[in-house]
Order: sequence, then C-alpha cells, then structure tokens
Amino acid sequence: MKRLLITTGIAMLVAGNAFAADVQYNMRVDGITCPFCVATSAKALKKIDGVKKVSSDLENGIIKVCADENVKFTDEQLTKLFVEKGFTYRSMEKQKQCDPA
Amino acid sequence: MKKIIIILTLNIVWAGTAQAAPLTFNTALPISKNEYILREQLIISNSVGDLTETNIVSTLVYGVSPNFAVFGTIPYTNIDSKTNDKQGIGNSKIFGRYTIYQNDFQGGTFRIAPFAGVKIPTNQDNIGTESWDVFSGIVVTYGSVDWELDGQVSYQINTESNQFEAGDVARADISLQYRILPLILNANTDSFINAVLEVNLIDTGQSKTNGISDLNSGGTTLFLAPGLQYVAERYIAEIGVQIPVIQNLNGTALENDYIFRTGLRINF
Repeated sequence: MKRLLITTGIAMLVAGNAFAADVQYNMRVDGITCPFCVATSAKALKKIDGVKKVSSDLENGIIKVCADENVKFTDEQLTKLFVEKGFTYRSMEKQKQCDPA
Repeated sequence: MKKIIIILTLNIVWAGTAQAAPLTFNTALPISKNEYILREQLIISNSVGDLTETNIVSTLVYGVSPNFAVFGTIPYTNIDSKTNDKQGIGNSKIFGRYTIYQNDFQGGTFRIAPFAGVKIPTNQDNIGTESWDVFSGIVVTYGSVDWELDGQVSYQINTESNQFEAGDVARADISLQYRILPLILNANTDSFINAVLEVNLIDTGQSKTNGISDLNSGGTTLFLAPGLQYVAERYIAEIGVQIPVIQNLNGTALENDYIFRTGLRINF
C-alpha cells in the first residue's frame, strides 16, 4: 500500500508538470528596430526548454515569450542573452496567459 | 587603364556592405555574437557606350562579439566591352568593424562604429589591380522602427604593383530607409517594406604608371540611389539603382550611366 501511494504521488507530480499552464513573459528590450533585428534573439529564446512561441511588439520594444509556467527567467540570464545579441535588456513582466495566436 | 579605374571605383562602391540597412554601404547595427549573415548581390554597371560590368558579390559576416564583427567579401566579375571581354574572380576584402558607442532606447538605437580592412589581390585575368590596399572609415547609424539614417566616410589607400598604382579613393555616403508598409505596426507585424534613398560621393585620385600620373583617370562622382527593401525575420530582399547626378571626371575618363543592384541577406 505504501509503495502504491508513493507511485501514485509521483505519477500525479509528473502529470501536473505535463499539463503545466502556459504563461507569457513580456521582455522590454531596447535597440530592436526591425524584424531582422529580432531574429537572433528569438532563435536563442526558442532553444530554451519549455519555450513555445516568441513574438515581438516592435513599436514598444517588447519581446513576448510564451512558455510553460515551469520556465523561469532571471534578469541576469536575460541581460547576458540580449547583450550577446547586441541589444539592451531592461525589464520583464509575467502575464498569466499567452496572447492568442 | 580607364577600365581598371572604373572597376576600382565599383569595388569601393560594393565592398563593405553586408548587414541590414543601406544598399550601397555598411551600417553600425549589430551582428549577434557567434551568428552569421550571408549577403548575395547582383550588381550591373554600365559605362557610357563602352563597358558593362556584371558582379555577383558574396559577403559573409561573423559576429565575434556583440561589438566586433568580421566581414569577408569576394566578387565574381564579368566584363563586357567593345575591345575586351573577360570574367573571373575579382579582388577580395576582409575587414573588421567595432562598435565604440551604443545608446539603445525603446524602439530605437544610436551607434558609432569605425572599421578597417585590407583589399586582397585574389583576382583572375587582371580583373582589378594586383596590389594589397588598406582602407578605413567610420559609420554612424540612428535607427527607429519607422526610419533609419546611416552615414559613412571612408578612405582607401591604393599601393603600387607591377608599376601601376591606382588613385586613392575617398567617399562619403548617406542612406535613409523609411518604412512605407505596414503604415501602422501591430502585434502580428513580421515584415517591413522600406523605401530607400541614398547619396554616394566618391572621389578617386589619378592613377600612376611607372610613377607618371594618368591625366585621364580619377575624378569625382555623386550618385543618387533610390531603392526598395523587403525586411523579414530571416532575410532582407532589396533592389535599387545608383544614378550619377554629377560626374566631374579628369580628361577622358569613362563616365558611368547607372549601377543596378539587387540582393538578398540571410540571417542564419
């Protein structure tokens, strides 16, 4: 019985992760001016496990990342990522749901 | 000899362009670290009734760091004239560009980047000169989501080889790219169409053979270059024509009719 309970518990945890809800991170990145500029940053973000979609709002300098809620970004990580792409990361806001496709 | 001077001038015109932005020269916008951009161009130059030169120019750019990029360019050239037809690989260029100033803001950027490099005599069948030449310059870019302005000045010192020395080349360029479509950006915008207008001022010194100046070589040309760009996430397609509006050339040096150019830049 004890083994059955442990197995059930693990299965529930795994199932919980498998059906994790999606959230959206809105990253304010300065210096991006055109779709061509965004491409390499989007490529790097898409390589992160759990990231499902990357889009951009060029007018407001926002890169939108739709990802599993288990994916966690840090300011340090994003600062480094965008510096290597040639741009300046400023801040990030978490949104409970991804924008509709 | 006049033809060699024309070819040298064209070489200056199309070298150094590999990234987003202007049609006829470079930009200070970044190349991401460890990323490549490939640019392929078709450039057709016609000079007054005597010479048509067709170049297929391949340029590869690599981002060594966020601030430093290396550019390599090599042309395949076909020269068609009344007296002499030839084709083959032309002279290559390798140069580095370093961003010394960067001010990023919401939806825009301002950058300054000097560059320097060398022209390598990789040509076949005397397409261009046999000398190793050096060049340097600085490019400034102000970019926003609506428009971008690039300016560049550069100078190439040409050296002697086989008793021939081409004249040095000084140039100044300005490019304005203005987004004409879409008129209003929204969350689904993933491509732009830009109208482009550029001005190229090119001054070429007199060439020398055995130390004696050729009085029918060199001079100053001012080009006006309208064009269009389609800017997408992974590529930029572009087309334009350089029209000489002022040609103050020495002696009987050949005047240029036009330079047609089209190309594709691919972001890997």
